[in-house]
Amino acid sequence: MKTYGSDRGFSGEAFVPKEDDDVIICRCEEITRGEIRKAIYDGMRTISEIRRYLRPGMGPCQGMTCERNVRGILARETGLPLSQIPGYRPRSPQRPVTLAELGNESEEEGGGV
Amino acid sequence: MSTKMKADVVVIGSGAVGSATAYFLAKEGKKVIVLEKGHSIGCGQSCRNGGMNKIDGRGLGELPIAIYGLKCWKDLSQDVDTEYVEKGGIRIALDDEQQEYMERFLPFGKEAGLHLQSMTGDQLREKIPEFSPRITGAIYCQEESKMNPLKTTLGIYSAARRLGVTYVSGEEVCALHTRQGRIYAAETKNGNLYEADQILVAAAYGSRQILNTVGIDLPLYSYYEEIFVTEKIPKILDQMFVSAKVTYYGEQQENGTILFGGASGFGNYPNREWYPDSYQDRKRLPAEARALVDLFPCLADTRVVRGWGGWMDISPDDSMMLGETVEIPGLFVACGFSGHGFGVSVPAAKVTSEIMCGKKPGADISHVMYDRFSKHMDMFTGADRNHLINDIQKK
Amino acid sequence: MTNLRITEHPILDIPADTKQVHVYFEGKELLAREGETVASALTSYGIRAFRTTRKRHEPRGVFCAIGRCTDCMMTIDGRKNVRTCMTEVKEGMQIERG
Repeated sequence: MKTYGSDRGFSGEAFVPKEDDDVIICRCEEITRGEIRKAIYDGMRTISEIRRYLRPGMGPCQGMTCERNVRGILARETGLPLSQIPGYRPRSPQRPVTLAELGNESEEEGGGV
Repeated sequence: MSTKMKADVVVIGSGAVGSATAYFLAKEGKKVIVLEKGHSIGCGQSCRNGGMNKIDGRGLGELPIAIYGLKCWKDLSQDVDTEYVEKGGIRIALDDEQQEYMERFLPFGKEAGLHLQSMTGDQLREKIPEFSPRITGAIYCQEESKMNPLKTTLGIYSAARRLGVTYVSGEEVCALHTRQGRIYAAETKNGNLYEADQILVAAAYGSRQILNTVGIDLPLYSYYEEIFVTEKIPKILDQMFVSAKVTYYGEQQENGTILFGGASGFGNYPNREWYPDSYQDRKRLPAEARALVDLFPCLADTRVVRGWGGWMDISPDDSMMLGETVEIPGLFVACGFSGHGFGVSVPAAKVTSEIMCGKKPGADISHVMYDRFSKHMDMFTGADRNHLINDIQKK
Repeated sequence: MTNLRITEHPILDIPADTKQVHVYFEGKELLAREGETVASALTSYGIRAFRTTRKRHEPRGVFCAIGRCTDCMMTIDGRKNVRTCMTEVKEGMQIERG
């Protein structure tokens, strides 16, 4: 039974390009559908692996634009239902914050160590 | 439903060290299985670190392996896209005591063949004016390098996979088994058994519990640290930088983002129950933000885009633990990289694969053997430890 | 530069007496309306390419227009990576590409 992240075997067959491989999926990092499909062919089987290998979702918008599409491509390539594919892990800060603002803690506001 | 699989070698841990060892072994024609506890390959420190290879400031025992790395990284980069570049590194002092501390390394580094240059804070600011006026001195090491840890770790996995290495993720090892005193198999929580003549435990802090099941205890403790990246800004420096006592580290990546991480002074022994996962803590990012602005006052208005963290496995002398265990032939360890393992992951994996194939290791590993802290082996066998280590190397 | 501003609309009520704000795009003066975004002011002049991408050197401008996609970022008053679709025009504002 196929589960998320399993089935990592290498078939030995060549990568098969598709017509819409040049569509841009991650606009921030300029990553195309073909590159994502190739990463999956290269062995990436989880959302984290694709993200770390290729960088979709690592640009300024932090995956707000591409997440749904990358999940969809992984689902289609692995044959798993979309519901089994998690999204990108959210991390602080939720929106970019300057170093000065982030470091500006005061005792009264519960900051400092 | 439990399964049984057999291979020449089982590697526990799919990070840079485990995967690179599997890769080198596969090149020697060995059949290798890599077991990864998590969902994703290299999801521990290998895909969380900053990709900086500091050589100046390593424990002296690690120096031969770091020097070996200068060759190993370049060789590997022919086959895997590591984005490895030697742009040099800067170690920073904020007072005379720190400068004196840093300069202790100079004779050892120079003897090992490194190009090291001591400079004052003013000389540093002549080259890189953005550095803070607080800095009193620095040491520049030409051979220090940067690489892309995510692309490298997963690229090694991809290359190893192509060479026929079998990877199983979501497979946590709960026990090792021996037969007639020799290593025999790794058993997992899913109830599966992986038999092999040689097993390598390269599972960072998880190594400790796994080795406990066969009566070996490595003095490791786990420590959590955070790191962040900023938005893309124009280039201000090429070199990576670290503090005198390597408590923080940073660099500017090719795409212009600044990466910075390190200890926040929050405490050295965080209770693991408070941080069950790699869970960000609200105190760390602000402390690190203040530290970065302290070093580069011009960055006050630069925005932090994302932070993350990870658990490190720290050894008592901050240096790695390698070697075939004397207690159980066929059982090898590669852990305790103490939060600065990525830069030496490839050479450490290369020497591990060399000793696993019965060859002489390409670097002197006698000062980073896994058992240098305990007297257990001496009491057990009554033999001289150095003599036994030489025997292992001769095999 | 052509002015694409809509002055009459069959449904929307477009006030004719909105205060004008002077902003500068790469040194050139533009007339914007008080309360509108930088992206809107640039679009009204037919300026659609706000920046060029690093890897493929392709133009980017307004995409989502709701502050999510970061395609529309420009340097405003020396501050880099500002989302123009979420930033209100101010008198004397300096807007640069890159």
